[in-house]
Amino acid sequence: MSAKLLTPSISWLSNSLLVSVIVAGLILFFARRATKSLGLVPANTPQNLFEFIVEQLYETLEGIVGKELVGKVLPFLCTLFIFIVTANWFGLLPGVGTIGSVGPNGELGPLRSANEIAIPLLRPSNADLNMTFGMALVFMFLWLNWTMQTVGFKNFMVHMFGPKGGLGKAMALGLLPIFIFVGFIEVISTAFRPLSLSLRLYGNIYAGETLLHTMSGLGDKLPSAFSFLLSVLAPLPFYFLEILVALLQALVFTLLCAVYIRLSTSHDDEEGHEH
Amino acid sequence: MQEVLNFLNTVGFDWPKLLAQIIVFATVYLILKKYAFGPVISVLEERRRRIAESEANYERIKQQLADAEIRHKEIVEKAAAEAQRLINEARDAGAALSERKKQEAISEAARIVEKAKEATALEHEKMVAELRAEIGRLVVETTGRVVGRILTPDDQKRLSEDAVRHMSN
Repeated sequence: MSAKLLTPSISWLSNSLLVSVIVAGLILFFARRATKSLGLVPANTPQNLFEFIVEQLYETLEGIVGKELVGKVLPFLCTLFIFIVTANWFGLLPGVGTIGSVGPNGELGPLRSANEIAIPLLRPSNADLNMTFGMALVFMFLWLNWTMQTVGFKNFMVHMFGPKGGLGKAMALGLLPIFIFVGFIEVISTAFRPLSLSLRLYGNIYAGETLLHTMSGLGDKLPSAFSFLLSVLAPLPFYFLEILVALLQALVFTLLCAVYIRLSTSHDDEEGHEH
Repeated sequence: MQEVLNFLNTVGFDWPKLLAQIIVFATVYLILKKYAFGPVISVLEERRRRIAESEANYERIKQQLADAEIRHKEIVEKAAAEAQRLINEARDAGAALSERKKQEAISEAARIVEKAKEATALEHEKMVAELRAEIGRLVVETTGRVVGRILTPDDQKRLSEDAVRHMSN
């Protein structure tokens, strides 16, 4: 169920970390190609594609976080989106999660297929909670930083615990204990954001991986020709579904982060107008 | 809280792995932020600024073109009016000149006709006088031959005057 260690002596080197490193390498390579000869008129296809992704996200996120903050938060949200979607699609490549060299009894051997191994060499990095939770924690750290920079500690506390809704002084004072109580609930809700963010992504990708594995192994007990045919045909429709899910989950994670930034950095009066 | 941690452990949560993943992700973020997104966002913003500038220029040029077209139309209308005025003036002047020349030609023709009449009358008078004198001379000569003698100057004068008088009547 969890990411497996590739070598028992190194407690952090897991198969999903290996995929994360490969994905990071791919993204950095692509970004380098795209920005090597950056000009006002795109000079090559990677720059065109990279700019297209960044521009689309820029326009989408500008509408959520606002013009003032978009320049500050865009690099992180773009990284988040590109990393998640690349890792998700990388996890759909043949061989990821199905090839390894560690057998059922922990013995090391040549590269073998899914039925004969205990630990795959590569696993989708977002099917590992450590990856998704890690991204969510990095986001929460930056979110707190941006929020404090934008509204300040005092306004943040007032936003969390203070009376809302444009109440009169006497009414606000009377309802203050309720708002403080609601504030604590808000704090707990905020504290659980990294968990909800990470579990949503982890759950979807892990479920997708499990679904594809199950579909591939549907014909294991049939004669080898049928087994092979079924292992190719049965998961095929679900691959298309997973391609879509991979993109959607990356979008959901990114947009939720943008919404959280918006909620904590917008002023109460603005929110009032929007509602 | 313990339940949450137990659940997390069940689904594979592990601090060293978490830290390793965070380092990988944060490294990608920091590198991309400095070397990729920073320059790309600058390019996008520069491009947006230039597009906005071009649009503003386009609007300005469009306005200038509209103004120029209005001015052009005014100038053309003014020129057309001026041309029409000049044509009318030329036409009037032409008509006046033509009339003047016509009148001059008429008067000249009348003068020539008058002169011709006068000349004809004078010529006629002259011819009549010459004819009278010739007739008088012929009458005197004829009479002289008929009579058979040379007529005196008084007779000649009387005969001539009689003949002229008879002819006039």
